Parts: sequence; C-alpha cells; structure tokens
Amino acid sequence: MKKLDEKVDVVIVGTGAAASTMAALLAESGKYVLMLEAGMERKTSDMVSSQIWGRRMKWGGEPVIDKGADSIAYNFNMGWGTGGSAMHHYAVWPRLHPEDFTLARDHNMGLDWPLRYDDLRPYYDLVQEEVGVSGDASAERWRPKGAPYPMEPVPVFSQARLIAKGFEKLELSTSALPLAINAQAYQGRPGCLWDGWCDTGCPTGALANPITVYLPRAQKAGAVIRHRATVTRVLTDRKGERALGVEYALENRNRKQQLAELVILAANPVQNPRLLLASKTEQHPQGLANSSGRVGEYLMSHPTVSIYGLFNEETQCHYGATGGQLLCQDGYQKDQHGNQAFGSYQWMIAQAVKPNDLLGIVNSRADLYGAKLNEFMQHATKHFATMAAVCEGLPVRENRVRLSAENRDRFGMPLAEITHAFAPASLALAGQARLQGEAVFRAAGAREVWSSAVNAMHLMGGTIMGESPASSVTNEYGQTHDIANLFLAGAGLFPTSGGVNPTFTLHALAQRSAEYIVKNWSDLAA
Amino acid sequence: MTHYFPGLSHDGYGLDFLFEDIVSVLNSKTAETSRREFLRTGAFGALSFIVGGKILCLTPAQAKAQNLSYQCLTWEQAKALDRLGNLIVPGASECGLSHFLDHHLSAATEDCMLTIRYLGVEAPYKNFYTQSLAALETSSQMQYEKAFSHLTLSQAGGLLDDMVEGNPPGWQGPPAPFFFFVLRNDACDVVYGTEQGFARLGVPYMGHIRPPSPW
Repeated sequence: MKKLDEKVDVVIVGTGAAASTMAALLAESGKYVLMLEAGMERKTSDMVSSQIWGRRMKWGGEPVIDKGADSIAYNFNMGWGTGGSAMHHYAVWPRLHPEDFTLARDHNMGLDWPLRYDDLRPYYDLVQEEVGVSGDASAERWRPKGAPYPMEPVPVFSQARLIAKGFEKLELSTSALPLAINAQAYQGRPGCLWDGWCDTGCPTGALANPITVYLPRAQKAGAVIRHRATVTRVLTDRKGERALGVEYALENRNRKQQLAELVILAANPVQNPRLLLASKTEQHPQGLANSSGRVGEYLMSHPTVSIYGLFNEETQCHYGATGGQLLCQDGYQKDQHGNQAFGSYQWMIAQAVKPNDLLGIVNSRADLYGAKLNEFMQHATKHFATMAAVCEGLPVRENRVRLSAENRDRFGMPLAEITHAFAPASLALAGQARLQGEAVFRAAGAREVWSSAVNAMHLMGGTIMGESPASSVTNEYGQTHDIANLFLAGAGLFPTSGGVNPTFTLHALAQRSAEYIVKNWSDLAA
Repeated sequence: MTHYFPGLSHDGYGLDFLFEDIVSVLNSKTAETSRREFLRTGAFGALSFIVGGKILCLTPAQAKAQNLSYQCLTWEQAKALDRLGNLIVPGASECGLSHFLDHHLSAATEDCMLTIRYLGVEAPYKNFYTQSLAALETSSQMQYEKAFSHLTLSQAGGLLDDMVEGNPPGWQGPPAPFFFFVLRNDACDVVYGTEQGFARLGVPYMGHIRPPSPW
C-alpha cells in the first residue's frame, strides 16, 4: 500500500453520504483514494441509545456564524465525525419529482437543474438496490417512474393508524414512508426493531448510513480515512488550471499537503463553499471555481412545520422510525396552494418521539414548567402524535455563505458566515401546510391540536450545478466549470430543494459522478 | 446580528422571542485546557469526579447525594441552578442537574452533550450559564433585595414566571426566556431523558447500546 504522503489518485474531503459513496465506487474501480475527515473516528459501538449521547453526532467543529431572518440551525442539522450528517439522518428516502428539475422553465421561478429526472432515475434505482429501501411503490400514487422498492414497507403502529384516519376523512392519500431502513434482513444487515433511536445513530446496521454501507466497501477496496485532518486549502498549479491536491491541518496545527490527481470536496453545503472561497489565488481572486461568483450563493433549507396532537387512544409514539411511518405527497403540485404559497411539500407522518431533546415531547410544549409540565409529560408520552411537513425552500441568491472578515478558526481559516431567509412564497407554503396538518389531526379525532414554528430542516445549495459556467459552479457531474479535476459532491449541488428529503438524491448524484469520473479518468488525470 | 431561535414559537402555547447578538455577549474565552483534557478522557464513562485524589465514576444523582465538589461551577452557581431547575422541572436537583451541567461545561466542546450545543451559542458554554446566573442574581436583588437562594418559594417562582415572559427588571445578560429554554432542556434531560426517567413516565427504553452512565 502506498504511504499516505505519496500522491494519491483521489483525495476526498469528508466521509459523509456523498463522500463515502464516491470513495467506494472509485476505490472499487482501482483508484487509490484518501479521505480526509475533520472530526473524530466513529464506530457503530459509539451509537449510544440516548438523546443526550446522540448529541455527539451533531456538529462539533468550528463555529458557523448564522445571520439572517431564518436560522438554518446549522449545529442541529449538520454532523460531526465519521459519516458526517448522514450518521444522524432519519433515512427518509423519497425521490425528487421530474418537475423539481425544471422550476425556472415551468414556473419562471428559481432555477433549473442541468439534468432531468430521467437522467437520474437509473441511479436512484441502482442506489436503492445497493442500499436497501423499504416502501410500497404502488401505494405512492405520486411516485415518479422507477423500480419498485427492494423491501416490503415498514410496519405501522397505532400513532400512524390514528393520523391516517384524518387524511382519509379529508380525502387525502397516504402510503408507507420510503425508508433506507431494513424491514427485514438485507445485504447482510439485520432488520429494524422499530424502537425509535434512529437519530442518535443506528448501531445495528438496519438503517443505512455511511459506516454501515459505503465506507466499509471503500475501505475493503483500499480507501484510507485520515481523521482529525481539517482541509484548509485546495492547492492549484501556477496557472490555476489544475488542482494539485489539498493542504490540511492536524490537531497539533501542523500543516501537511496531500497531492492527488483529482480532488473531490464532499463536505457539507456550508463547508464546501467556505473551502473554495478560502482557496483563492492570484488566478482565482474570488475563490476557486468561482468565476461565476456563485460560490456560496443559493444556500437552501426546507421550511418545516410539526403538527402535534393528543388523542384519547394510546399512540405508542415511541415505536417506529424517527422519520415516521407514512407519507403524503398530495401537496406536491407547486402552484395549487393559494395564499401566495408556492412549491411542493410532503408529510412525514407518525414520527417516533422520545421524551427529551429538541424534537422530543417536552419541546412540543416549550411553555410548560413545574407541575404542569410533569402532568403533561405523564399523559403525553402515552397519547401524543406528530407529523412534519417538508416544504420546498425556493432558491434565493442572497442566501449565501461568505467568509467572515473578522473571525478565524484555530487554524487561521476564516469562519463561514451565513445569511439566510426563506422566500415569502416558501413561508406561505409552510403556512398552508400548517392549516392542512392541523385539519388532518382534528379530523383524526385528536382532542387537542397545536403546531410548531417554522424551522429549517436539511441544508442544500451553496455550490449549485448548472448548464452555464456564467451562472453555476459545476456541471451536471459535480465537475467544476473552472477546474477540470476539481469535483464537488453532496446536497450543495442542488439548484432546487424540492419538497423531499435530500439524502437519496445526493447518493444518486454521487453514483452518477463517480461513474463519469471512472469513464473519463484518462482525460481527468494529469 | 439578529436571530429568531428556531423551535420556540408554538401556536397558542409558546415562547416566541427574539435574541440579539447573543454571541457577542458570550465571546469571552477562557482557557481550561488541562482540565478539559482530563475530563475528556472520562467522558465515555460515568461522570468523573476527583475525591481525595482518586477518580470516582458516579452518576449525577450519586454525585449530588455525596455532595461532591464541582469542577467549574461555584457552590453558589450550582445551588442557584439546582433551585431554578427544580422549579422548572420538579426533581431536577435530586437527579443531579448541577453535577450534570458541571461535568459537561468542563468537557471539550465536541464532547459536550448539553442541548446548548445545538443552539448557535459560541463555546465555551460555561459563559452562557455564568452570565445568565449573574443576571438572575442582579434581578433578584433589584426586585426583592435578596439573593436568589434566599427568596421564598413564591418569590423565586414569581421571578421564574417573569423570565419566561421576557427579561425581568435588572436582567443583563443572555435573554431570560432563552436561558429558561436552555435550562429547561437540561432539567428535562436528567429527569425525563434517562433510563430511570423513561421508567417514571412508563416509556420502554429499548436501547440498543445502553448509555454508559444512566443520564
């Protein structure tokens, strides 16, 4: 095996969902792959079943300065250590719809993707076969074309059955929620026990995350992970035409350089643009891959609203998956909501909840304390039900990542500074979803119904892909328009957010990019 | 800078507050590297406490019962946190709230398991708590001319009621409703978020990997 300091074929920044997928495919094609991870090493044995201990999965790196009207809740949404954010993701894996790829063309709003659903469809099919997704394709009447799920749907508990009655009374449809969680043993990983500990990190392997699926494949094929290695700069040649590798800092603040034929930035949608902006050179005075000026722009999140209710019946709300049990995408048609709302939304229905933590039962009633809180908790833990709307957050150019002029991290790198505010049409959409959700709960027979504020769920954009080098950062494969051997991966590439969870799509994109790199290696390598 | 903190506004039920530039309030740095390095090594066991030169691994409740000393909080601060925490979530003190906080506020940032880790407050998080407690004391003195620990139950409860609604008179520090929210979550962790807490609520724990310490 080569020494780490030698030039490698591919250096990948990050070990999350996109990074691990690309590492596995590239290593299996014979490329020597080195992955650099800023956080600590995580193993399945670290996935302690506790909302308190689960917080270690959340961001623990350098601070991000979060400005603007609507916080993106960076520390809550992002992950830290091996596997990145996907280690605490809920594994809700619906596909984007064809209309999500042509928002500007169809509605003169937002942006278009440089590819269409049909281009990505084979990769969705491939990923779901490799990873394993549970669901009922025939019951998802909204589902885009694609292969049926390789596993049967997840089981339904009383919370979901109760809420489903409300949807039915309002003549709305529900189906099983598509989950990258094993309904039964699959690909050597066990079936789920449905005990609701998904978001603290699943140690059984039933939930697909990087350390149970793609990282083992990558390592088996020879990929190496170096932890506690914070990449501070992408290195380029004198002409600024090729990436030479990366510079990274160790915990002791010593710097090292890693040369590579090809560089892939697969950190999160805030850290990727931060790194590009911090890598500016004489040839790239606005930052690398930023001739368009778009690096950092169009940062997106899904506005989300949670509906809460108390039922007379016992709900068994601690069983199931954190992501939920049922799906409704009747709200996916983008321009039919009224009240100046625009975009798509879906319901993740009957999420498993625990008593404590930010999304726990206690914070559904953040106003209660003292004896009233205790009384509420004693009752609600048996009769509580909830569901969450994932609403489309329209791309807004002013929502962006910049480098802080004043604040630097311990390695001397400027901190990321974020400005984010949801588009008015996206907030209106969340408002319409709230009205519908509360109506559903009332129709279902809940004797008390209330809902949350609008919060931010998922991060996307910031390094968008597009057809034109003048208005986007990469092409449809994540290859930067400016530097042929510099690629980006992850949800940061999304030009639109759709109304679905992003992880399935970023896996499909990563598969497609890796295939492109392998096919074109002789042109991409020096 | 201005934040609306996510997750706090609930239709008809909630806290809905604005907090401005909390980071600048909390930007003073403290250097406690060696202590943190030691405590980091203990972070994967039960809470580590030094007693008579020996390291003991105890739960917060056991530490509370043994009246053990604190690593970074003063006795007065711990006492105030326990008292306020108990008013917010009855039983928090007995479940070891102050030792739970003391341990995690002494840990390295990435090992800290307090809710505040999520909330966009700049580390070290101890500053947030100490500044909030100082504001609590000032407000208590201004309203009742007594330290918070000397307030009657009714007076302390009244001050808490004020904190939930906004900054009480004399309050200077992180926004009082935000401090309430943070401490409420800490108290909920030790009372409801443990295996014993689940049992008290009648919720099956069903853990795959049990927490190495009960909290």
